[in-house]
Amino acid sequence: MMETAQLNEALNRERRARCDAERRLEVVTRELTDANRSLVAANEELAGVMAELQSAQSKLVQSDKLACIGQLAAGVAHEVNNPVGYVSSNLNTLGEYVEDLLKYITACRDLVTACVNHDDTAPESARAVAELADAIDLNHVVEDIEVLLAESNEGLSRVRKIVGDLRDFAHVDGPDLGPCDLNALMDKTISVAWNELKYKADVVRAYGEIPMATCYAGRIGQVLLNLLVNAAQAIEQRGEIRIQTGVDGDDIWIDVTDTGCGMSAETMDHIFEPFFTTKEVGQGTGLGLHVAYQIMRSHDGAITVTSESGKGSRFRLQWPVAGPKEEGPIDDDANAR
Amino acid sequence: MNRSCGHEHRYQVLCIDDEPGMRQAVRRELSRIGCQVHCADNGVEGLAILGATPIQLLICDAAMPGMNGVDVLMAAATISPETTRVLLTAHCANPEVVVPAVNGARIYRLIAKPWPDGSLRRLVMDVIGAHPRKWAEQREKVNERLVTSAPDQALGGEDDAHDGNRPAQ
Repeated sequence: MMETAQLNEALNRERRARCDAERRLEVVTRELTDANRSLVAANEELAGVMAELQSAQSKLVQSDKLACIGQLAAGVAHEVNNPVGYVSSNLNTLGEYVEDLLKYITACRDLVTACVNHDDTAPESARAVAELADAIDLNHVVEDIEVLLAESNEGLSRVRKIVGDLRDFAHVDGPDLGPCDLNALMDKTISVAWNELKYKADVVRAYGEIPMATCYAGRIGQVLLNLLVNAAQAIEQRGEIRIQTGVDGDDIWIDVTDTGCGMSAETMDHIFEPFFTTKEVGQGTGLGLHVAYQIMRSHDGAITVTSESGKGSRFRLQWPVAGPKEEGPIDDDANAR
Repeated sequence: MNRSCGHEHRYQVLCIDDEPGMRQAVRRELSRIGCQVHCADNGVEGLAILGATPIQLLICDAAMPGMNGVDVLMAAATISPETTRVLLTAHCANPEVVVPAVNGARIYRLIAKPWPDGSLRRLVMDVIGAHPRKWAEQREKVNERLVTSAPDQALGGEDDAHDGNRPAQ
């Protein structure tokens, strides 16, 4: 009997313990489920924040690009207004030339008619033609027409080029990763920035023979534009901006070197931080180099700088010729940290 | 004005602009109405011409390498105060350019690039018309100054207009 009672007691204890354990398991499970649920929620929230960050970052990149383009627009207008100015002036002059030439042709026709008809008025017509030639300065007109047309053509092709380059520059945009002729991209960028550069620096293009490099051409163009405008702004009076391109192992690199005012070591420590600027208010957004830094990260590459106060600066862009391993938005790396 | 009138009676214009096409266009437009147009592609060269030649009208660009247009016009006001000064620029909405040009260099007119048809010629006519004797007086004054400073350079010494154009770069 005693044994049975003991057994029952043991069984009860065991049942209670199991019930207890089950209850505890339930609690733990519930806690786990709750924890999991809130983890999922947190995760979702995090994803939302990430998306927001991404969109903020891409807005930052876009706003830097817009600021850059806005700044260039005034310069481009000037670049365009010069040739438009002289081409339209030339067209007016050409209109007058044509008017004079038509008068001359009419006189010549009269002369031909008189000659064909053996008219008495022929000598008089001939005199009229000669006088007209003098009055309209025929020799000069004939001489100048070709020059005028050549100059006007040159002016118009300049307008075409600058407008085309600006369009390419504004449109070649981020999403497409593809092979790019960096030397050609550099030329296009120089052309767009020309008004900022031409009075400040001799631009030396020491391009190397480089293969097509895989990149986001629009983003790289944006970085190059930033570097060029910075280089020009660093030059007080007149200097040199040297562009070099080359290959180093598996990497492609572009150097933009200026003979401007250079930077102190302290400034260099901060230049890639957002909103850091040494320019006067209104001159810079403080985003250019930060965006450049992000863009180079999106290429699995880097932007580096060497500089000496009073001597000038050299910025180097470097990334794998084959492009980044994974396609991705600009802020991939920034958010992974 | 008559194209065939003698050299010394022609209206003397100096165009300073770093754009060759621009210089040529101004020269074309104004020589068609009888002006003799001298050209320079930078301020220093232009001021040298202004100091050595009787110039009645100076048409100057704003953005140029080296000396900028406003500084050129200021210097011109000192070198040859009787020369009418005009700023021809694509930067005419930029107060940094226009304010000192109007108030410092006391320009007679501001003309925007691209300029409307005929506005350069109207400018010449206005300058002459607004000051009927100005043309003749200007010439005399400039001549006087030149005779006292450099007798050899007085009016009518050269047949061809100066041109600071450099060969195409």
